[in-house]
Amino acid sequence: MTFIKFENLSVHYGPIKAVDNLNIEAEKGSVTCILGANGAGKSTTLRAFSGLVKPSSGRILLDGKDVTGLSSDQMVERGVSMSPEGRRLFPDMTVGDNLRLGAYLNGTRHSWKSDMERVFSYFPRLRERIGQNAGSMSGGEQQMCAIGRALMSNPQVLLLDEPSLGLAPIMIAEVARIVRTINAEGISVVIVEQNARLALQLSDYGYLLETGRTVLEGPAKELQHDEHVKTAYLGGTMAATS
Amino acid sequence: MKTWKILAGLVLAVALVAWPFFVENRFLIHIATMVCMYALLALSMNLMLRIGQLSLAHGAIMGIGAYTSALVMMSLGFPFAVGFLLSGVVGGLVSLIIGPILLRIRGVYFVLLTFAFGEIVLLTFIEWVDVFGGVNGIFGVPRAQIFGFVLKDKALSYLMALAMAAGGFFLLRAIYRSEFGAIMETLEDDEDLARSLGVNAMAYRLAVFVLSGAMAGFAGGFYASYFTFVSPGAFNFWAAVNLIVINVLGGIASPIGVILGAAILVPLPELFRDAVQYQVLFYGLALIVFLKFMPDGLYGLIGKIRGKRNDR
Repeated sequence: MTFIKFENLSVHYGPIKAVDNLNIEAEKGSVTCILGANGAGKSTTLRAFSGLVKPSSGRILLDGKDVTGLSSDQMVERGVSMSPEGRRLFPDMTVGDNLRLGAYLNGTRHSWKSDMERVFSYFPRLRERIGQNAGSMSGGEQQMCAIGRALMSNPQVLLLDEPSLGLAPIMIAEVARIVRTINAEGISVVIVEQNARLALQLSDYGYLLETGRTVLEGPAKELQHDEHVKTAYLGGTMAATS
Repeated sequence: MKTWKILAGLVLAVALVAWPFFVENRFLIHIATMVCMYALLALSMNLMLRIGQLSLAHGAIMGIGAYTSALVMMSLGFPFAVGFLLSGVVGGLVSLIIGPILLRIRGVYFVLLTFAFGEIVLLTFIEWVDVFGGVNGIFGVPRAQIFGFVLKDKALSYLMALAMAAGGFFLLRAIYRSEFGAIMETLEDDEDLARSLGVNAMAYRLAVFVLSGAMAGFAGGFYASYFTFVSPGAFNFWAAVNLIVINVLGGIASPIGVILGAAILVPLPELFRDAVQYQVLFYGLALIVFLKFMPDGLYGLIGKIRGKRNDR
């Protein structure tokens, strides 16, 4: 059953078309990845979904309901939560406060304690760091905190913008483990990545964007073996020969 | 430690309330009154600086409060209590109306827009002579009256200003310690991130702007009855700049810093009474020195000294 649907979605920044007639569908409980190079419109797609930018045309449907053009707080209330690019935290606040801000809306604030316990079950290390300033943690820990905060609002859909960016390989593996755990609990995940190998391993279905348009889509397993994806995003002929 | 702090606070409060009744020097009491009034205004500016939106309209909003109170009493014949109350209400109301337009815009553009708004307000005061009395303003504004008791005595006016400043101080302190304060901090830090957490950024900005405008309006209402006279000159953008200077010098990070800033900056020009033409020059020099050597203001300096002591 289609849970998330973008219909002919376009987003403009002034005269510049960042996303052009995009069609995306994702099932409930699936992991969907959006791949592409810098400037392909991946982040803009997520920002449109989370209500941070308004689409210039097209529709976004969530569970069959039109949510196009809703504000970001309304989207959070409807269960769409985003962890923005660059593991953004409030660096001068403690880890605990950063997490609590994730449960800011009325719908989830009464349950912030149990939500925080759940986040700690995913990220035990955050419990040790609860009173520490978020800015003083390692990159991997900050990414965990950012994802944990996005989970505090008890989302149905988690949007991850470049979660592996700038992380050490061991931390990338950790992020992958987390995404699988979260997904196993029934949360749909939309992941935007430049690290196509990681994203395709995690995903059920993938979209490949170039300059705002879908150039390729398909089940992640097929995309992994697609020649175009291989040469452009999976390390070219090396991957093909090995 | 805790009881020591409470005791010190009590002593300070009693001293602040009682001293004018033992001091003959009325000029000193006047200065203290001004410190309190500017403290309230600077606190209202502090709210704006906390969300990273520097407003040059605060002089004008204070003016709106002052004219409101003066006109409500003089043209409409209401008592002081009504005029004073309305000075704050109208200050907040004006902010509520212009806020949704101005607050969409950030950074230097917001500063310029608030400047333009302030100029429009001033021009209205100047050009609409029938209502606002033009450049000469309005004379003979009734004095403050509390429970039918006219505040002719300077000491009583001082007490009213002190109460207003204290009210503003405790209000801001409570806000900054609350969840609302934490969200204000996120707006200044990283608005996109705050919004992605579901914070309705615009609503928070507007709430801050309205509260800030109401505080400036109340200060204006006090001003009108204290000087018994309002004129446009007092509410130009320099008024707002002074508030920013007080904040920067005292330290934006804490309401205590703002109070310190007002307590030092407001009396300063009086030391230079004999050299009025150098006042602005001195202001500039003092600012440069402060920004160079204590970028976090006086409050930041106190924090540093305390920190060093704790390190030992």
